[in-house]
Amino acid sequence: MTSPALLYLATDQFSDQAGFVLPPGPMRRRLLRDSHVQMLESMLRYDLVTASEIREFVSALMVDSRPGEIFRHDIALAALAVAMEHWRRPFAEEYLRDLAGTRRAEFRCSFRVALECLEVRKSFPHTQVRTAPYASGMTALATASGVPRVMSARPSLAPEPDVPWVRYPEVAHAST
Amino acid sequence: MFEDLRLALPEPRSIALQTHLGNDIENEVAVDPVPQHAIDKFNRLAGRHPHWNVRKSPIGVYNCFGHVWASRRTAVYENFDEAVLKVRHDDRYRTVDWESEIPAVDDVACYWESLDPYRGCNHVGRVISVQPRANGLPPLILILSKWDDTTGEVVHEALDHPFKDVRLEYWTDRRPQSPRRILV
Repeated sequence: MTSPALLYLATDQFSDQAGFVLPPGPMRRRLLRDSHVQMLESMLRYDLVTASEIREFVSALMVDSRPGEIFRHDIALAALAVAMEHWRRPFAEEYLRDLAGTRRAEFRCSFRVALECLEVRKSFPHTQVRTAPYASGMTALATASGVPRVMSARPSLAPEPDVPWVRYPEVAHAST
Repeated sequence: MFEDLRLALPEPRSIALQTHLGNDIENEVAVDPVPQHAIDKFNRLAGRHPHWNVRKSPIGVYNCFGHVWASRRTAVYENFDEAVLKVRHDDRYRTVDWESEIPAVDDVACYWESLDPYRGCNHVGRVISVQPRANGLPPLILILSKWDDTTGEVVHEALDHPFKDVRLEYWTDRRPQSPRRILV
């Protein structure tokens, strides 16, 4: 079942809320400020809306696409792009790249907003993945026990340290 | 997800468009005619502004840039800020300084997110009327605007627009008036 948050994007109410189409940069920023887009962004982050739901929803929207006619849900696709801008899933990248690649006048707002979103995504800091080669002997040592090594916080067995200042009464040091 | 669209839909069309100094401006002729859903949207949004006066019913082909600087023949979307600033420079526009003058008919009204530095141009429109007002009030300035590539053209008061958090600046191609001419 498609989430009501997605379905709302296809309504005239949302289209009116988003207003007239602005140049791509300002349009992206306007959609970023939109309360519904912000809610959708949160729902994506918490997996309350899934990639398959979005696929299904977009496929349903595409039924209205006709050559030589501004796509009825152009702003809805742009809004989805903005909502997915920060979503660290391969699907988000796929959606944005696919949409940005359409480059057709019928999708004049959505593909340009997707391009803007991709630009912004490029500027995000990325986790750098490094691999370090270990000597074979070390690997053997690490796996010898057969018990997975887990780092966890253990309660200390040592007695609580005696911290003298804890016992000091409160005094005001402010001079008059 | 959208792979088939490129094959199913026609290539966008553009025309030769240059500034006065011969620098190209990337453009794309917008889809026309405007579908009924876009006409309905325009009517709904225009209905929220009772003082707007619709000069022309919804039409495709051009957007605000095309209206102001391309004789209603095409639309400009790409690198919008750069295109607007390129025209400003190459066509020798300057900012109207409210301290010493007021905008005049056929000046350009520019709605920006930030003026210093220029960033996020939302819209450009043409000044079509400047009516002086009594009691030291600033003149009533009417603008002719095409809000996007599916709307009609609307005459509206300069501050009666659909944008949020924008700053308005007037640009003119008139030469600055020298102090001597002002005195005369």
